[in-house]
Amino acid sequence: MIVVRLDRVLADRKMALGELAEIVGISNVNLSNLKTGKVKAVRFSTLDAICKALNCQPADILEYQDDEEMN
Amino acid sequence: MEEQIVVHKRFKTLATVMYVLSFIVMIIDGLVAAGVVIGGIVLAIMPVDEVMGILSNLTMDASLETPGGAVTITEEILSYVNLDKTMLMLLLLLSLLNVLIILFIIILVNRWLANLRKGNILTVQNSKYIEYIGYSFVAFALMEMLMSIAVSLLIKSSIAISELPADFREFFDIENIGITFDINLIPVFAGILIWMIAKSLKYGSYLQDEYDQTV
Repeated sequence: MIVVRLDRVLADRKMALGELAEIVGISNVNLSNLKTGKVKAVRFSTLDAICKALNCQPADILEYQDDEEMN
Repeated sequence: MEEQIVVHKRFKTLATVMYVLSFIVMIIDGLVAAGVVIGGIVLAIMPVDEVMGILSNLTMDASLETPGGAVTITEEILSYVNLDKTMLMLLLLLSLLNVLIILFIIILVNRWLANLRKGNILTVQNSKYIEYIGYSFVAFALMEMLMSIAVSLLIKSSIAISELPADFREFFDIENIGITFDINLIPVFAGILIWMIAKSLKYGSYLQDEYDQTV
């Protein structure tokens, strides 16, 4: 499964979720859902805007973990 | 970006107007159902002779109209009629079921319009409402057929056909009234099409959900 590590990058950049939401142009609720992994998909345009705002790579935000290993 | 029709102000206004209209129709149909229930209770209590007495003492002229002409119901014709109470009660019960099916359809339309007003278009709930409307249309067609059979049985059991005047028998072709299993296919096909639309909307609700959960 894909794990979202957005909270880690936000902490490193010392940026609040609301601030990132405003820069990226999506709602606080949607970004919070993304952070907690409640979304089903992310658009490339959104990923592009997040990486631009946080000056990071997609691999910094998204991590793959095997479901069996997690269990 | 072109404004989506479903969030357009005019669409919401139209949905509201239709919602109010459906509410009014729902109340009227409810009153009709209540009337049928009251009529049934009164008929159950009242002896048949009294019902015939009321029909005979009607001061207004009653007539049966057909595409071929009209016949005035006179006391002479009423004398050949002896209402079969059981059949009449059965007919009333079927009428009540018919009215209830229509009421059910109106309630479902009302609930669906209520969701449209709130902007909830492609939802599983809406697809269920429309699916049940489809089933109700088919049930309505079956009920129509049953009522037609019940009317034929009522006429056969209530009228002394052999004693009726010859011209009356000929005019209405009463001797040839039989039990026919004629089903109106229009509501059946409409019900099937509506069911298919409901399934399409269910898929639409799945796509909506996928869209809503994409950031």
